[in-house]
Amino acid sequence: MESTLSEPVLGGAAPAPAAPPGGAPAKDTDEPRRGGSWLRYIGAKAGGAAVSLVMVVLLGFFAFRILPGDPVRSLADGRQVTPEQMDILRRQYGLDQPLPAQFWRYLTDLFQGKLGDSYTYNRPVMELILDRLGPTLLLTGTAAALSVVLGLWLGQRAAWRRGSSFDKTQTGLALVFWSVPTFWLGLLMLLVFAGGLHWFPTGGMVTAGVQATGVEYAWDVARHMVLPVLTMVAVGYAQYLMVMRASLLEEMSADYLVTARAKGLREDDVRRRHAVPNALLPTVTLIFLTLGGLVGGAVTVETVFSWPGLGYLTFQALSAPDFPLLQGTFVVFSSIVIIMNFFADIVYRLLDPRLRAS
Amino acid sequence: MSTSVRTTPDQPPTLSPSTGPGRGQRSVAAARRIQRAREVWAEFAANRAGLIGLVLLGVVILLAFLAPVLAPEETLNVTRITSSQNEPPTWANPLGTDPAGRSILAMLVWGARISLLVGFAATAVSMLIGTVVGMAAGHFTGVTQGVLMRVIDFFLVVPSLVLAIVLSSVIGPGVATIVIAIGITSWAGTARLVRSQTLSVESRAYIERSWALGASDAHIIGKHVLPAVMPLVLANTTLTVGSAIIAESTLSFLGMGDPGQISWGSMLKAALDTGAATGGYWWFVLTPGIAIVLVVLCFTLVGRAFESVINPTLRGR
Amino acid sequence: MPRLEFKDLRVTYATQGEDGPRTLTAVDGVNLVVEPGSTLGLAGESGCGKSTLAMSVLRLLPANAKVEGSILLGGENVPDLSWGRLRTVRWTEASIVFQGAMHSLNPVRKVREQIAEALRIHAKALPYKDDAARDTRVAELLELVDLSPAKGASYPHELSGGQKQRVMIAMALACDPELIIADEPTTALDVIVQAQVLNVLTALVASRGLSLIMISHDLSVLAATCERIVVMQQGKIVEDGPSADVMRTPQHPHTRALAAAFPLIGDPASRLRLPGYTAPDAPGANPLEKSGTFTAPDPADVVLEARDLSVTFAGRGGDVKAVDSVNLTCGRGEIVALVGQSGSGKTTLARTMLALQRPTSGEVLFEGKALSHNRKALKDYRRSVQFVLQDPSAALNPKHSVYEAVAEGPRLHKLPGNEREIVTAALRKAELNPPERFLAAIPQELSGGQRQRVVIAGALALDPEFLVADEPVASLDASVRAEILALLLRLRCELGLGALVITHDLGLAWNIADRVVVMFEGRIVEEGRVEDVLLNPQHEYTRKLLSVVPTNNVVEDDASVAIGAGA
Repeated sequence: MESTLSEPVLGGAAPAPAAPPGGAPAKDTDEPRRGGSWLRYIGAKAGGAAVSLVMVVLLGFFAFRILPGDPVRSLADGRQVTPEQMDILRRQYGLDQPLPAQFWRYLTDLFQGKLGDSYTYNRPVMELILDRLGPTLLLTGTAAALSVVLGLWLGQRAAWRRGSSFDKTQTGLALVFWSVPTFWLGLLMLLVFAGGLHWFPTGGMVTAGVQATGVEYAWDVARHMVLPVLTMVAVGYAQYLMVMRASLLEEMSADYLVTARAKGLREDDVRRRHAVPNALLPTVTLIFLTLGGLVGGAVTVETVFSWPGLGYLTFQALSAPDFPLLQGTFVVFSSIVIIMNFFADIVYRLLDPRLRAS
Repeated sequence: MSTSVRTTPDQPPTLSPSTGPGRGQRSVAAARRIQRAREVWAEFAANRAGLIGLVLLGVVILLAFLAPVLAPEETLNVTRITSSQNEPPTWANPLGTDPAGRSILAMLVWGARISLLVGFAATAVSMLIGTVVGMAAGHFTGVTQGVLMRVIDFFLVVPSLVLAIVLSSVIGPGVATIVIAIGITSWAGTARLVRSQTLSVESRAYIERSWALGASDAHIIGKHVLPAVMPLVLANTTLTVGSAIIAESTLSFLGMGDPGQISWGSMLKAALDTGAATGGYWWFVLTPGIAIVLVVLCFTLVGRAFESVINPTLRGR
Repeated sequence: MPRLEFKDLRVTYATQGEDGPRTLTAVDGVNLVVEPGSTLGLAGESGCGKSTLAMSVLRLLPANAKVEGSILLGGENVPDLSWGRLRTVRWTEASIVFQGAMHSLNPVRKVREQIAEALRIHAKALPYKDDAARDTRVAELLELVDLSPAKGASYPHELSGGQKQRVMIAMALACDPELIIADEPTTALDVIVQAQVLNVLTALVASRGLSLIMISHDLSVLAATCERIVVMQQGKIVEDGPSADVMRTPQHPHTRALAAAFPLIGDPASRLRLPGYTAPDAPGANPLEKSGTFTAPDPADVVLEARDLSVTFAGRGGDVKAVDSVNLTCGRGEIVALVGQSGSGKTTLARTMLALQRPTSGEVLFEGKALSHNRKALKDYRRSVQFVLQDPSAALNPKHSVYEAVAEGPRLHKLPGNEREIVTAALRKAELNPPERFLAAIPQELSGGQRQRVVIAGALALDPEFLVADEPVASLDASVRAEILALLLRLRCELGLGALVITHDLGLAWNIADRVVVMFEGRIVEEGRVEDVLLNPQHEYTRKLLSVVPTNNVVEDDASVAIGAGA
């Protein structure tokens, strides 16, 4: 019987060894099983991350070679290109080589940190990416932090006051924001606050033509950051709110809370000291799992606000189309998310003692 | 062999009306299905938000269906336009006109077709792949499961928008591209859900009983796992349509849709390209977005209502 | 020392039914007095109101509960207490020992922190003012329950069921209460661990002169630990008296049904005899009642056999030998009871014999031929040896009707004949009469006993030669236990259908088995005829098991002797 049932379904205590380890008194005859090691866990997770990275690298290469559609033709689409010019392009980007040769070149380049050259910019892709990485991290990081904090706090409060008008309004608002396309909200922001009220600039990271430094520079960037961050937070906080709320509501019916109350603990403390910390655990996993979505949001928001980050670069690469650049941004974006997920697994294990036994 | 004539000593249970001696087993199952469907509907209707969502969705779908009647195609033909460009709302054009002079209301109704079509099609692809892979990953063990898990994890981790961009840049812009791109990037979420549900179902004792009775893999999956997983899949489907519509609008907005087709996303792309946002032409920016929000919200409400029907612990949330 | 008195207590829950809001009466006019220093057992089946009664003492009922009448704890009426006074009373005057094996401990906090929390909440009333004093007190408490203070640094999932229960006891004693309420403290624990926990609890209660209210569905456990037993049914008290009397000579029919679930081992009145059916070969059975179709079970005619069977699992700390070179035979028509504690390997052995688990070495033989690992050949085997599972609610697909559940087997094997006739015949054999009434029902419409009958009918539909039953009555209410056992006995006597019954309950073996096999840590330590093994045990482990069986330890005349002391 191949499927199922090859794992033991041993319930209850394992039979005890004759002499219990450590200084336990001899009367204690039912000892549970010992847990696994820290190293094994990290090893397993790192292995998983490595496999995913390898798949990203492979996909990055093959997507542009295997799928129907000739990259050079798409490149030439809409432009007046003669067959000879297409041949020249092919040779220039090594697209006339046999597939294994291209793949080998791709891998060796990758190990040297090179991701090819951009068609449109005529600069190494790696250089372009490194230029734009900072602004994206700034924008996404700020938005992520604010979304998480806002979502968790509101979600927790809504669960406390379940059924109240606060709860109903918050849940309703969250559902509405969840249904809003990020880019459209950005457009609205532009329309109202930049175009209409002129409170904030309409795009970019710094005011064009101005060479500011130090505090002035920071202030300028901050002003430009307000609308894009607001857009991302508005759409992002909603799912954290819903998850935290659901998680806390589920936790509040747990048995150990009855024990806490029976001990004489005040209701507020029961929630704050027992329910909320436990409810946070599954929420933490979810936060890291949704990192991929946050990255997607970066692409659209940066495009709408012309924020000079990795997302805007991806959009520009798409519009051209600039395949080496697309390939490069895909690999970099995916790798960042994979690595973040790996850290998430580590953090989660640190937080939840139950995982240390597995 | 003597059998006792005692009737069972337990208290009589609350049974549904018993079948007469002549009825076959098939009608027993059918009667039960009808009764269950009625219960589900009653439970669903009790959730007001879900009901409103369902009604609104019905209206939208009807409008989209009637698009050729409500706004004949010639009115959208750019060469035959009578109104001027970028007009704010008037009685003639209740939602204003776009930079080409076309009535935005008409475009909205036609755009609904593409948005809804893509939403449903992409969801169908995503659900199909997700359910099959999810059940397989939950049922089989060993190497099969290991490989499937890695694949699912990979598609979960990779940022979907970036992957969609890559796919569409290679395949070329168009409606089919968007459907495939959304389908490929969103099936993993369903697969993970289906897998965990499969695992939970297969840990129940009645699956072990089936094995002991002599069942095969196909029997277990077909008779026990699939029916148990279906309600969850259906609820998830409704929610996925909502996110597929958002994804479609995003991809159209980024330029991956068919330039010849009108969709809500392409309208907003035009809004950005022609500077409607900064130029203050609010009707062009506002209306397609509100349409998206409304439709997605309706799908979300219906999906949540359905979820609370199949999972009673979620009622009253 | 406060006296606890319930006066005309009525507790109702406001719930949502299918047709609108309903009120459920959990406790219906209860009058009860618990004198200081006495031990009271509260017995009854699930839903009888005993837990509600207990939780109402500290006002721990959910928000939709309405309490009428009074609960006087030392003169104060609990429902009338202010919140401040209630929080002070909680744990310092009365505390509750919850089911520790379940989720009553916070899974992400160390156990010593959870005990210390109780001390911190009541810091004003207690002499432990700073952290150091509290730490000492926690260590003290852990030693009182036979746990080393080092165990305090563990998380709940790192402890076994018995250890968690003892932590709950330690926690309950933290603030020196006068009254302890123990809510099902030993459910889900082994007999031996159960004895350990109960001894700890009763020793502490006796040495401090505390009042104890113990709640359980297991009448024999209460009889072994409390002086007085009160039986509840549907919210009312139906019997009240000294433990030995209630246990040995119950008056009320419900109590009688409960007591029948715990037969006295060695008593011929419960050997092969159950309320409702007496086997023709029971001691003292009327020979004239023997029907012609009865053939005595024949241990020599071996139907199912395990030869040098071993099953090893790869565990985290090394390999675990769940089944270790086991030799077992089951003769035609005989009921063999496989007895052992959880972790002894009995379930693994049963599943291996059903070919649901591959053995690491050794073989299983059916009618002399070894089982192959070929799927097709195994399918034929499955027709002949069928499975009855432990929890009938989980063993039936909740969406399938009774008809579909019973027909599943015949359909899989494409049995010839009219399917409907096969199904109704099987239901009749399982004593579900008239069968037509049950065909369209789904499991949630049936009671626990009826569901188990459906599972048995499903097995009978294939006309098997032998049954393997894994704890067939462990998940059922005590009053229903007797019927299902009677059914198994009847199948043995009337159909010649033997069974390998896995159980932790020696009383069950005494009730219906011909032979008993005792398993410990994967090995068989003793086997033989039931009368021989249970009345004259040879192996030390068997003797230990018999000594801690609660029915052998009924409390008589205030004598508080530790369970198992008469080993």
